[in-house]
Amino acid sequence: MHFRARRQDGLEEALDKARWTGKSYGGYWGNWCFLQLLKLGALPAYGLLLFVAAYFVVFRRKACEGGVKFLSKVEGRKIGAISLETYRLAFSFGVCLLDRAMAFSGSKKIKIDDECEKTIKPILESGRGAVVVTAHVGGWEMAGAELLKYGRRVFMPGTDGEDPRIRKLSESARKTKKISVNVSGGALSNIEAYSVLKGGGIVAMHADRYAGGRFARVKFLGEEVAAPTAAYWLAKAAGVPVVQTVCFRGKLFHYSARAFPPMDANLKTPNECASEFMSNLESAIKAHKYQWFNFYDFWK
Amino acid sequence: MDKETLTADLKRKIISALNLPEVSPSDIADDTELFGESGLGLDSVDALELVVMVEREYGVVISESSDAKKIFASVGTLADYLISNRK
Repeated sequence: MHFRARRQDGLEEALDKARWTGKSYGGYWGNWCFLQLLKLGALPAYGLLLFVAAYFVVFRRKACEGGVKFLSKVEGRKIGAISLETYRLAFSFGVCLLDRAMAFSGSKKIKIDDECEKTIKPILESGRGAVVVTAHVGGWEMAGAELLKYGRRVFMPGTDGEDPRIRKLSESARKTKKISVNVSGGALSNIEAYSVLKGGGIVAMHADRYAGGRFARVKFLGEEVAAPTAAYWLAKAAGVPVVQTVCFRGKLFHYSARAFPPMDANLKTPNECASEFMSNLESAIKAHKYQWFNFYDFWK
Repeated sequence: MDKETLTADLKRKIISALNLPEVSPSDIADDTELFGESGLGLDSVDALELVVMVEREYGVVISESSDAKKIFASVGTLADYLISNRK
């Protein structure tokens, strides 16, 4: 007997669109070279990046296709595959990866102004948990690590498609505390997250990329995308607010993390929350268009 | 409440909590898989709502996803768990 009771309309199509692999570009030796250069300082690594970004734009156009489409949408005009804009996006992505490597290796050079604390701390102090949602933009991973400072349990569901050699290499260079990503997946993965929230902890997740499960069709930069809704269902079940955050690079070595006003998942439907998330993201990313790091066709 | 009464009660409550109007209690055998391709095909949000329903209706908290796989295998396994853990 098979009811497939939860076959949401358009699920196959939405799943077909979730095509990113989660693998780093550049390969093991590329990553190794940059990590060695970072030992000499940020500027030598940035210097090499000037050429590597150009190589990607000219010779690895497939890797940049998603970025080109994004830039065309955000600019409202056709952006060429080989263009200054595409180069800036590739370079900016590299800078954020290098900054992340520096920050996680314990360097004090990278500064994060974490304004999210003003929103998240009072929620936790009131005894409630919080669902913190973000997107693959700017310094999201560094901002995520800031969640450890509240001394609460942090649960981060995710996927892991990374090359094991590159993962090992990154881990070996890491000196700071890490939030372990829960990659169990499956239909029952939300249960542990729910328990963390009921215990006053934090569940941190991305809400931009759709990777399966329930979704909402929402407008993003003028066209419909499938936005995941698991975060909002989770918040609704646990009776906790959803805090949307973004973290963007500003001046050299400086990042700024900020939170939008909390969403009450009990007063809005998950689809309304997803729509609000994408609308907030759209306004934020329009002001930081070279910090959008979803390198696959978001709208295909 | 004996197991037979409990499973019947659970089937009604699952249908109601998960809003499955196309499913009737008689469609769900005690050993029908709740998740996965060969059974009801429930998803991760349904899992969440089941946990909330079990907490609210039976006062039993299920917090570990590793235990949950066995507990939520079917209505029968869920009933067994509730019988041994109800306060």
